[in-house]
Amino acid sequence: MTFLIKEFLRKYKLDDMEQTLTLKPSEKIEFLSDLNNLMSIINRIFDKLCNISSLRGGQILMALAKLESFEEVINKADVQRCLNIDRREKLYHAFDYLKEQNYIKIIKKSPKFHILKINEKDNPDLILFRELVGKYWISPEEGKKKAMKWKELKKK
Amino acid sequence: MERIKKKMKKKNNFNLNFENDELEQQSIKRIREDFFNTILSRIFVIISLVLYSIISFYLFPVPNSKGGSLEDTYSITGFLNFTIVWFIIVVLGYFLFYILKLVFYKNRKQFVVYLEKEILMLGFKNRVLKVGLKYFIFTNIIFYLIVVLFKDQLYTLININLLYILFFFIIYVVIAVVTPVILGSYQNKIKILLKRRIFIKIDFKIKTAKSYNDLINKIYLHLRSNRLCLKFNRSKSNLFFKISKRNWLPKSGKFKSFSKFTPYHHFFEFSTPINFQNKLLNLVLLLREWDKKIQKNCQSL
Repeated sequence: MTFLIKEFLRKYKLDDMEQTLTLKPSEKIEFLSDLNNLMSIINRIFDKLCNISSLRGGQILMALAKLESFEEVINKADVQRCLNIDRREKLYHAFDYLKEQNYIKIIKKSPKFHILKINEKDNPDLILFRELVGKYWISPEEGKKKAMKWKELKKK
Repeated sequence: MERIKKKMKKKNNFNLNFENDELEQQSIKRIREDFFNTILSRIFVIISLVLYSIISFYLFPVPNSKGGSLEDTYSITGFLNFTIVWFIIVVLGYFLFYILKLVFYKNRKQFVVYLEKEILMLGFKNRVLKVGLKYFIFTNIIFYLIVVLFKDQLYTLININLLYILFFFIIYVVIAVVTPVILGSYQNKIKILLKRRIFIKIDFKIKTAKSYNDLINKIYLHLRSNRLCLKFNRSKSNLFFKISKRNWLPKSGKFKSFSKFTPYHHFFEFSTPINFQNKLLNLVLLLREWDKKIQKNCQSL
């Protein structure tokens, strides 16, 4: 069972600024176990990332999670752009590895157009991962844009 | 001929790739081969130049020692001969400098091209600093002037004992060849200018020996930002520690002792070729954050 941050916030009304957080002893235990659950999932995600054979594998998962938060159809070119990588061949073996390990699904629409998705069905922890990465991670593409903006501002 | 051309094209088009162990091994092998080929070619030039200078030493008379007179040196041909001999010595020195530079700087052209590509991908431009070469040219000009101005004294010294030539050559090598190499090993770096006074310097080390264990990183890069603030400035230092701690930056750079004793704070980062782009971007974003916060503080004051 996966536990989302959104659910956690809603359950204890943490995002409601008008209400004060008052917990009974029994609720406190539940609150702590929920928090522990959340943390253990985050740890499992990091453990998974650490065990992915190449660095690019982890990066692809991050890019997919980021892109899935605002796009429905994602292909390999989108991932490449998100990671700001010059050649697609740098990612091929990582795509193969992730598919083999069942972390991602690749749907081949045509010989050149492949749709990618995180396999959340077999890896439910990746739902929280998608949520976390989508919200907090700055992709290289975004970082590059930020840096360029800053650089140009200074010139003026 | 076409085959050779194709082979040459293939050689030039070889892209360094560090995506997996196999490709990394191939790339390092390629760097190693290139390194030894350039050294061998330069050694060949040095040997031929040494032979040429020995022959020319006997052809161009040295005054009062091999039959020539001191007056010969004041004639135009004598002066030209003298300049040619000095030119050969300088070229020899240059090749010595080049080989020392190759060995100490680990300045592999192919890897620099790879880094330049990665930097371009991020939208930045780099500049390779050549402090060593500038110093080499400067010291050689000074040596030439000394030799031209004090040649009479030098000739009289040579007449007393020929070993003085060797002594003079050793001094020349130490000051005009070895010192630029040592100076360059600290200063010659790849520099990315982000803004006026804000830059990142990149230095790298490549272990090309076959005996190194496969588990050890064979190529590693050191990134260093410009001077951020004085260590004595408490408020800026606090901000520096806050930013660098939050982003897991290493406390010291390539030279640990240097980072301890310098009165300035720098952002340091360590990377391998595969994650170079990410680390560089990370450092750029931190510099952006630093710059914005400093500007904010200045405005509030």
